[in-house]
Amino acid sequence: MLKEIVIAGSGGQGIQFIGQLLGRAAVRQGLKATYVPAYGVERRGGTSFCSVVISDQEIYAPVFTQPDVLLALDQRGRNQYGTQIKSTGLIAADQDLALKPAPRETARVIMLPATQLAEQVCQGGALNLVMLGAYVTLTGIIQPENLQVELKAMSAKKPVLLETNLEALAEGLQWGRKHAK
Amino acid sequence: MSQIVFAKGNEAMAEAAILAGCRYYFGYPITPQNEVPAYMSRRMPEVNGVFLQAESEVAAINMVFGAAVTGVRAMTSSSSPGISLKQEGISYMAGCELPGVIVNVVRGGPGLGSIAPAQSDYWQSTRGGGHGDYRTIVLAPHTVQELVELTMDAFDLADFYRNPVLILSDGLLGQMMESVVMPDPQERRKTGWLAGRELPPKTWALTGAKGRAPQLIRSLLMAPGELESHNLHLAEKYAAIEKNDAQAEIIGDPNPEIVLAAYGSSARLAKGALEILKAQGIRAALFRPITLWPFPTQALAKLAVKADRFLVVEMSMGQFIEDVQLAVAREKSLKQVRIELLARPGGGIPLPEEIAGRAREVLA
Repeated sequence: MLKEIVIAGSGGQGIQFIGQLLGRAAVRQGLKATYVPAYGVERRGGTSFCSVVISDQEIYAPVFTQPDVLLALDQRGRNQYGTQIKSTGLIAADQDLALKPAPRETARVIMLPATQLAEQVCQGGALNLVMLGAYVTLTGIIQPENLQVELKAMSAKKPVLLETNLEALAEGLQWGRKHAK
Repeated sequence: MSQIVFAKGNEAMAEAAILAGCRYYFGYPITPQNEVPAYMSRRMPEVNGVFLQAESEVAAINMVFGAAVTGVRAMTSSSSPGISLKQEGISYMAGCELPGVIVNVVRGGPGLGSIAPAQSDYWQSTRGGGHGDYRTIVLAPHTVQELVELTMDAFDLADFYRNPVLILSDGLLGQMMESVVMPDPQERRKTGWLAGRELPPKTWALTGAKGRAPQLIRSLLMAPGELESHNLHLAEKYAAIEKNDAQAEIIGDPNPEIVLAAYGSSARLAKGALEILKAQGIRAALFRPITLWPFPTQALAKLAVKADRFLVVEMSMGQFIEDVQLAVAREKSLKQVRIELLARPGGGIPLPEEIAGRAREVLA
């Protein structure tokens, strides 16, 4: 098993946070994982993306070669990476912020009401966690408990956010379970 | 201690330095190594250590010099343009035979270049960098795990040889996160690189002359013949390092048709290419120097007995290839072999498929 996952959106959406969370949860599950951020002139509102590779084997290329999955949290992210996703892959896109297909997209697309679900929990703030939660239960790639444990550990510095974060993740997990084939 | 953590290269390296007993960090910000000073600024006070953001890279390396003179474990880190600024201080440390660890999280150059990963400081790292007849030990980790382990070894090697040690990381290794098992430094001393070798007491350190004769550490040697004999002494030390501490990893087919040569992040990607080539029925091996100086010449020369096709993979425009050519030439005339270069400079990353494709071309 080797999955190359691209998470793309805007600075401030917590793209890097869920990338790290996914990597940590994979390692907790006994898998190998790498996370590489796009770094540099990133800022709130600018483009932000990261590359997460999960495998049961040694990972030689921590940067994506032919990504299997795109989590698109905004339209720019979908435009930029949508076409690069393998035709056997998956694009999970937010139905409010990343509605339009990228030119020549060939992967299977799942539209998620992540923004709307996040609104219910925390005025839209934890859209990233809704998205990640939905992705893992749609595909079964990571056990939800591993995500929850690592999310608690990562939120330790900001305990006020923990409750909201856990709820947002739970919303996503539930949506994914309901819509998994 | 044996807990697995999902850690960022820069931060894991900083923690490894603290575990190795480093209590003095001096630095100046530059991407892509900023997580190192950020981490140190938080952790050093917790272990009663010193974190100091200097006014410049030049100041930082001279603070490392000043701390090392007293016998403590000290380090600095920077990225390529900042490392250029530190060269004068590194030369002085080499001249004064001071231990210390310098980490270069390499970014693209020349000039300010870019903040993307690169390996274009190979010549600067292995050929001195600063002025004068000196050598720095250069370690080239290819995973976050190895970065952590070599950081611990770097402090031991520096103390053992009274010599600065340079760790050549890069923007990819520094920024990426992967799982790491933090080694126990005591355990690593016993079983790792310097297993069986005692670290000499630092009798040379300037610790106050009460009860003993005053000591002097300097690199200005003006008496007739004084510098020549000092440099001959240094050369003897460098010869011992070359003899005892050149290290390489060689993996893949024991009778290769082609040898891939790569270090650091490039070597990690070349390992992926090795798997692809194996699946295609091509007998390929990988030569991965762990020390860039001393260069593991003999290990590569041995491979050159078996193979006459080589593909050198580097994230620079043909620097590392020169050492490969020099080592292969120990065994065979360069007219008899084919040594090709896959160069991805200025932030380009050679992916396993690309490396495997070029390897097949070299064999064709």
